[in-house]
Amino acid sequence: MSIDRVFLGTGRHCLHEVVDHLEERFPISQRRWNMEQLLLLLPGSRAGRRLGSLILDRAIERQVELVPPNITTLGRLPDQVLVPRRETATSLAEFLGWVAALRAADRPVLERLLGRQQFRLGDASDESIEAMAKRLIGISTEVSGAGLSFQDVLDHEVMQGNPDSLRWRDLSLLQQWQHDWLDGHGLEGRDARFRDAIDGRVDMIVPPSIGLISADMNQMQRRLLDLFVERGTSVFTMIHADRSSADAFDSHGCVEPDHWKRHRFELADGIEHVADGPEDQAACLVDLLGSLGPVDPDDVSIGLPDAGLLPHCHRVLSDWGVPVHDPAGIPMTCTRIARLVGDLERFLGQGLASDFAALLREPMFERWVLRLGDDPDFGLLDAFDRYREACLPMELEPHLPNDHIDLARVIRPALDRLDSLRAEDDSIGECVSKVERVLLDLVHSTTDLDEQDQQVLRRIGSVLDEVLRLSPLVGAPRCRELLRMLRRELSAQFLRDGSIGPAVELLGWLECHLDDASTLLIAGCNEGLLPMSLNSDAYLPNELRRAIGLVDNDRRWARDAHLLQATLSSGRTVHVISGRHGSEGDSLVPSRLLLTGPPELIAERVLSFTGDPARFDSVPRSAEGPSSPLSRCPRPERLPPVNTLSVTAFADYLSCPYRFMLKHVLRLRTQEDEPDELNALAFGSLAHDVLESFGHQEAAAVVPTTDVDAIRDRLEAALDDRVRSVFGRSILPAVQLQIDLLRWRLGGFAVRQAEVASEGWKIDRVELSFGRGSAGKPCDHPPVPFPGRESMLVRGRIDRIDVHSDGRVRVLDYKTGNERKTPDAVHRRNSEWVNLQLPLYRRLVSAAGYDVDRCAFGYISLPASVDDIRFEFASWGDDEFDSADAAAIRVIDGVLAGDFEPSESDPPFHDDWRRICGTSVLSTEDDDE
Amino acid sequence: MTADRTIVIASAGSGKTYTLANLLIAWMIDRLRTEGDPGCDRFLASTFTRKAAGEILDRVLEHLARGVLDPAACARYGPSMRLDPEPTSEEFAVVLKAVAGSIHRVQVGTLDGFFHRIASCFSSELGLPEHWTVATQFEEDALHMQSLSTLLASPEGKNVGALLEMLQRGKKSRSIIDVVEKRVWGRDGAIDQYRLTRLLEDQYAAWSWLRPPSSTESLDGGRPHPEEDRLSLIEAMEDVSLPLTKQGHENKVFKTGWIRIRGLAASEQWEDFLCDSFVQKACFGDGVFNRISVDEEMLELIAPLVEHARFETIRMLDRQLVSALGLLELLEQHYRSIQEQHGLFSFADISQRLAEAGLVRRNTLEHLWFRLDGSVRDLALDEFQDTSRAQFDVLHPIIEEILSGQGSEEDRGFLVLADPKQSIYAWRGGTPSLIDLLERRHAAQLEPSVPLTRSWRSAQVVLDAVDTVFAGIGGNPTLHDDKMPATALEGAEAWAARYEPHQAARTLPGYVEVVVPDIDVGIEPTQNHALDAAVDLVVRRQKEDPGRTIGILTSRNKAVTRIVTMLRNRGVEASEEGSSALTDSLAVGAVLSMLHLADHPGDFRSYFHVATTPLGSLLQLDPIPSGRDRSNWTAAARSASLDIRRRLSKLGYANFLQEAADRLLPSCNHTDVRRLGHLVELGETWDARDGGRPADFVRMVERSTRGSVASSSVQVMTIHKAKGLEFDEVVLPELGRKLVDDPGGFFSWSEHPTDLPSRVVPPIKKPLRVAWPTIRDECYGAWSRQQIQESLSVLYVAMTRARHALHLVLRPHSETKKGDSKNMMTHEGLVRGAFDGLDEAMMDHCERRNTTVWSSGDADWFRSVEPNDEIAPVEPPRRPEIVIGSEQSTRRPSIKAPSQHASDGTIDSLVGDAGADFAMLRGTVMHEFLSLVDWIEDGRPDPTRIDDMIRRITMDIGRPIPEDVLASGLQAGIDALDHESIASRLSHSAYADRDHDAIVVRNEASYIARTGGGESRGRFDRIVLGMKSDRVVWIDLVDYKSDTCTSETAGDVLETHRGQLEGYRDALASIHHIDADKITLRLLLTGPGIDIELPVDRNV
Repeated sequence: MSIDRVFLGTGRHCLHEVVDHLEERFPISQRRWNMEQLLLLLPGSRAGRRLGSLILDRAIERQVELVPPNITTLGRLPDQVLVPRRETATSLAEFLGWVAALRAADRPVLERLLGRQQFRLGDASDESIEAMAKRLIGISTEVSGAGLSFQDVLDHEVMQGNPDSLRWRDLSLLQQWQHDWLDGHGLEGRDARFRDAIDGRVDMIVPPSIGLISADMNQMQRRLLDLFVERGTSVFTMIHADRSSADAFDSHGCVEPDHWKRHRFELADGIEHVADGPEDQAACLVDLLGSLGPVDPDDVSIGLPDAGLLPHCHRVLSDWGVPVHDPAGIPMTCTRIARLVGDLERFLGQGLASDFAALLREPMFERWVLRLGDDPDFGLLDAFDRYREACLPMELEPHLPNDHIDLARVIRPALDRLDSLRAEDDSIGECVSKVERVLLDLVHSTTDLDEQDQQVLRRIGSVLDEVLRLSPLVGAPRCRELLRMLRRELSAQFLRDGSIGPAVELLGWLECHLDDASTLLIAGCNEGLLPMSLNSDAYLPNELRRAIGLVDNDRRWARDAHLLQATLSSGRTVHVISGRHGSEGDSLVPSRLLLTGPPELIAERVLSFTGDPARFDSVPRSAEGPSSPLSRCPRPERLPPVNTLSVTAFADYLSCPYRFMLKHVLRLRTQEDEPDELNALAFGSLAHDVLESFGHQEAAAVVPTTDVDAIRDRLEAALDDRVRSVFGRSILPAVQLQIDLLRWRLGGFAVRQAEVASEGWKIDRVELSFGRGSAGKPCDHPPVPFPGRESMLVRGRIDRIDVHSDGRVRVLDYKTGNERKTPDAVHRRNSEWVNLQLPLYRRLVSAAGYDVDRCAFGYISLPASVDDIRFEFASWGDDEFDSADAAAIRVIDGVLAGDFEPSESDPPFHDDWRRICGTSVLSTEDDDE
Repeated sequence: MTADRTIVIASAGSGKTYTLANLLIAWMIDRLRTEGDPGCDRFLASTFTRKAAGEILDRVLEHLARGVLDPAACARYGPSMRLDPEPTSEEFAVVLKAVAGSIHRVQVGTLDGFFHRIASCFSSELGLPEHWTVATQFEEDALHMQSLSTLLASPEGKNVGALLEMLQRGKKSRSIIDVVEKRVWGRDGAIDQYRLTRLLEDQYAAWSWLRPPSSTESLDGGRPHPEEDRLSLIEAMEDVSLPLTKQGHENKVFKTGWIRIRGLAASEQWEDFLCDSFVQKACFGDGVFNRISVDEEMLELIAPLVEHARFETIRMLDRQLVSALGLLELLEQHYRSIQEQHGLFSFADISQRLAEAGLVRRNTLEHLWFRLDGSVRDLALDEFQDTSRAQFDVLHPIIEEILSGQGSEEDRGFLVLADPKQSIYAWRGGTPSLIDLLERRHAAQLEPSVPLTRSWRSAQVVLDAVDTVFAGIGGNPTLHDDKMPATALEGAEAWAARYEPHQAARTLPGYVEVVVPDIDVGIEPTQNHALDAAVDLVVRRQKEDPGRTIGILTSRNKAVTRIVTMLRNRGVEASEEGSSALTDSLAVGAVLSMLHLADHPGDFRSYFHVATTPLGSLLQLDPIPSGRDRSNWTAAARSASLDIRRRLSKLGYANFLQEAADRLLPSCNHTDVRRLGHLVELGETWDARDGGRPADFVRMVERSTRGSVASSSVQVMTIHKAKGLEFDEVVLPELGRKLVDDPGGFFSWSEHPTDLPSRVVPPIKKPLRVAWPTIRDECYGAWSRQQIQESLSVLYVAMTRARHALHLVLRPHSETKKGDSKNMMTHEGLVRGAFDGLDEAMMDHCERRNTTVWSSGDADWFRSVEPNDEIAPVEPPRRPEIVIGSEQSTRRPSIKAPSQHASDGTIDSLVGDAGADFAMLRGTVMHEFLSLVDWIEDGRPDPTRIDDMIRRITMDIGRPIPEDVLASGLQAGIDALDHESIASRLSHSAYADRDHDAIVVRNEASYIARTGGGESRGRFDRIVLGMKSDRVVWIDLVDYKSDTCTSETAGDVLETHRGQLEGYRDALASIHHIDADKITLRLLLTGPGIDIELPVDRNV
């Protein structure tokens, strides 16, 4: 007996032919179509489901009772027939077995497999070991498909004298170790079972009848089928081709590579298209759909050998009103619960504040923290942002600085719960229980648990179950490792798109042949994708594959050639699209499948490919354009009145009245979150705080300090004090360096300060405020009406005022930007006032009783270069001050008149308002501070 | 014989790709003739970019195809193939067929791609973890920061400040991260220098070259003097009589200087001592300070102190360098460790590891070819001037084998195509002098070649302008300026040594002009003025002559986005070469604001922004109230933030962004729609990642670039990106970059440019360098030489992209206080110095207020040139006419399995208990046991059938049935049969009262049925069919249940399973085409032995 090769013929769709054949082979009798004895094997489950529906259709059409065959995938054949001798190792158990084998391996073996560098800093990382275990599973599965063990590969003649034989010896040892390890735990690896089945060492259930459709099979599948034939099973293989092509298929109904090498495709006119980039390919699909006239999406499928086209096609087709369905679904790792598991795992690792900040962004987690903290209305994110912005912590400390006491109160219970997950001596049962409890607690914090969430939770549950069942194998992981295990297991699971409405299906290449839509459009017909080829590999290069009987490039070509040929001759409307460029602009080449036939034909196809590709505008346009275009610089309908202005606000108005409006009229608060280090503002504030503290001491002293060391010591003490109170103990390392930098700058300042003190200057006032400050501190003086525009009050805070015994006064502002800038450079550009801070100080100090005519106005610059630290003053005369006053009046008038048009000049590099103003890409210069 | 071995120097536009393609074809034809097989998978042709590689392969295919179809094409290509006899169409045909058949094995790509393949096959040998992959720039930056943090947190972290200070030459910038990104990881950063020296046998030597060879002398005459000697000198300095002015007075400045250096010497501030202007003038200058000669006596006093200062300063620099090496080593260690953990590596990392590992060696190539599944016989290296030293080290064993004639075959081809004039990737390690190295090392094996100088691209007017600037570069006044380092001129002359005047191969009309923006007097010209002028120019040109390809080439990416946006604002659509920020769209900006609000509920700015867009209605936001009371704002912003995060969490980024995009679409222009599409794509990428918060996504978007929104005739890109491209017109608006800049930090020096570095040079202040001629002249001299050469190459590449017209946009002339022209040490200066009369015209410009200050050729060139059709028209696709036939897909029906109950949505436990597992398996055994009973009258199941049953269950559950479960399950089955009610239900007599002429039982029967709008699939425990005339007239469905219950609670159990039973009924009705009321449904409760029927629902 042998396998019965059934040639289904061409001209119709494969599955439809299969139904016909089944009806012929299993005739209806007594109104009953009984295929109970048939095991039907297909390449994929999707085709199996569809075949089931078609068989049902036929039964309904014939009005008979259907007893369906057992339809499954070819890959599941062994599971359908082999009787386990021991418990089948699940993928998790197999994985753990490989990990254990790797961990038990001798150092030289591991060094050869993982590379010596992996051991430079101690043992190889978990990630590295686990990635190798994953790789070994893949190799083992593939090699077992040929009925071989790693030892068989090592013994193969192709390995004689090959340097890789050493590595295969290592692999063989590991495989044996893994096998023994599983065995020792009462488990049996699937690969090993399959290999033993070939040798007749596994009991099997022999099905009476097997039918299959497959362009290709691995050695083990072939041998199993042969075994069944020997044992009397009726095996028939259905080939979607005419009998005249019998030579193209072997006795198992699989492709004969040598035959297909010579195959030439006949492509009907007009079905081959070349489009430029991915978007053009997607738009080309739209165009082809448009060319079909009225079309039911249920009648169309799109084949995508290039999975990279999927997002483009999904989006562009949807934009053009074409409903699409992606049967592949999404991996469970993309769901919120899986992400939460990942975020938890990360936070448990190092306890970083940044990881906790990320966790808080998950609403489930936020709500959980608030619930545990017993303050559901607390502004948790706000508070945590403020804490991070102010303290820049690296790790979350047990005790937060006093300014954040409310935050500490709210988050403490949650942190304690998470801390409990860090225990090192928990049993596996305790770990599972803790993780389960926390996850359920978190999940119960949400009210919108949906079916997807439940699927993920069920999967998590089954993994946890399995972990408990396999506890002797799992060892003693901590909760963190358990969470990582969960993530890994979830990554192999998919959530299917359960929508049932008519839609164009987006299929992978291998699904196209058995899909039975009447129109099939295949995009991405480019070399490397169709046919797929594998030209180099660390373990199984093509030459080795060929030698040991694994799928190689020739077989892939043959398989894909047959599938394409069968598809083209199935009577469907088929179009193929090749792309010229990939998403990165890289050039693509056409599929070899399209370059067959006589050289002249190939030449013509090449020239049509290298010529101008179709380029489409993939964006649907409405004829009338945007209905209500987005506007740059939107304005609210009403604005609150403005009657005070800070001295620094004038510069903002001069820079851009619109931004001024956002900042000072609407007072739109901004909140950023880049706590890798102190930003310019925070660095400046820290410096100001220290200098203020020093200034107060000096102002209170009778005699100014002239000793450099004494000044330096006082500044350093103030700095340390401030750092302690603001940052706590866990300071980001970069911030620690910045503190050192500030210390260095303060050292430079001490020298200059001693100099001016020696010259007779004494600090008189520090942080002298006029009107309310931003921090709500009480002010020293009320805001000052601006002369000529008395309705507008000017407020401000002067960093420092020095007086000399001779009556002279210096009004000073600290500047901590990297570059030293003179007061004039800061205030005027191309002779125009761009800042009015120092001129406006004249108005303030005058109100405070100082004689303006004896005042000098300037900066104490503490820039990056210590050589540039100095006191420097504006040398403006009355004319300049008058023109500054005039500029101030223009600003006040503009504000009072509500003139807040955006400026046309270039925005600054650090523009907080860039998105609102639509200038994100226009700023070109970096003006640090 | 064509397997020649040559190095061809090919100028811009001289048809390099054409030459290379033909040579590859020639190699194949030659193999075909000699060996009968073209061996199209046996050569490796590499170039610098994937795009260029694609063009080469395209060209090979195209030439072959043309050659097949047209013998005249063969004749055209023949001469450049140097085959004897000339190739025929038949040969082209054979080769084309072979290439088409094995195109997957044709090795035309980038060196990075080739190395990537090697690294994939040898990851463990290279120390790459199994899960490694190529990192994106975003990921790479994150790794940099992580490794820095790890270093900073380590005990050695406290020394990082010193390293950074050194890299900043004494400055201490506020931002540590900024400094690290620029000076450590940036272009030519410290890590690059460190890695280069890792390739040395003695890395330490390159970092310790400043170390004084003895305790008595150091570099360039440094010498320590004992303290007592120094003190006596310092003392003597006090007594020295200072020279007097002509008027016989002591010069105050002179005196202050003298006292100052004495003080510096006394306080041992040796670096400041050497930098002091007095010492500089007296000892390293003309011996005159403040117009007074420093006399011999004074010089004798300070000379030993200068020697000592040299010694001490060098010692300090040495210590700093060596400690920098230690820190860099640690940083690299941390970096590698973090990389390995994440499995992320850049192409540069891969080249470096390959070079360090020495994996590619002559005697191990066979092993390489085995894993790569193909060998390299012939090698063609394009753009060789951009090859880095690390890449060269990897390739060299293959080159040597080819050129030495060793290896498996002797007749092997080798071609290098290069143009040192176009070497613009020195910052990425490109080393043009490797060409000389090859020529030197392999002079005997290489055949002479003729440089390609005829340009097939540019008009002669353009080429003349190029020649004017570069052929006479040595005479350019800019290079003779005092401010220009002496070696710059030397470098420029060396650069031009092989320069040959360019000849146009075709007669093309052309025009070159220098344009200057028209700005008001008193305004200081900036680079942005030139950008604006370029935009004006392009807008004008597009109006008068639309459709010409115009390339606006800049130095910086930022300028690209600026120009594109400005052009777009003025109605000219421009496309970018892969460098356009997504944030150029207002719509994207609005979405990013929304995401920012999600992350920061305290950000009222984002709330305001979102509320003023259609996204406000999506989130049902109220506009920001204008009052002073902030409490409403806070609550509203918090609520909006939570709402956004909930949607993100539930829907994922892509879906939610699509929702947002849909809401924005009616307000979007074409660019916005495209950009929103790109944003959704990024959302999909993000969803596939391992988590991350909205702010991280926003950061990624802000750093992402996407291709042009539309391909248009105006293209804006950096000069680097323009390499290999050509345009009808080229506009150069950013010529203000310095020709020679100081190094950003460490740089390396080698005896010969092709050697690995023998010195790492620390950043040294300019005045200090003068103390050591070795440092000033050799090290910094070499640096300047290399800098000028790269600058020249950049300008050369930029100018030679033009076919017909070249527009050079210069900033207006401006002067320093001393009256010198500003901005002359730039490309602008070179241009001004090169064209006759231009400099004068620039100086006159302010008065003339003319924007074109210099021109050559025909400004109306375009009138005599037909527009080309390079930019194919972009059409909208035909709009699909979608007809939805039914609510449900016919090909994708919903599939139900009645046995699966819908969940009630509450989950109280994730982990099942062992008892449940036991019960379930026991129930399975019992079910299967009962399914062996057709009719009780036939007896109980025999052992053989039970054995089969056990095997089947074992297979289904994937493990042997535990003994206790098996025993319990079988017993449960036996016990069930002992119940009278069960047994009688399994008896014929149970159906005696029903009307039938035959009765059929089916146990464990699989089914598929159409029910409602979908399909029902499953398995019936037991059905009994009453038949009459071969037709089913009634059905009794029996479902076994092992639920624990009593006769009182059996009804509840039945209710629990009602849905399932009704599902079965629908299926049975459909399968057997009988009315539902002819079907009875029942549970057999095996534990208590209850047979309970579902009451008939009259509504069925």
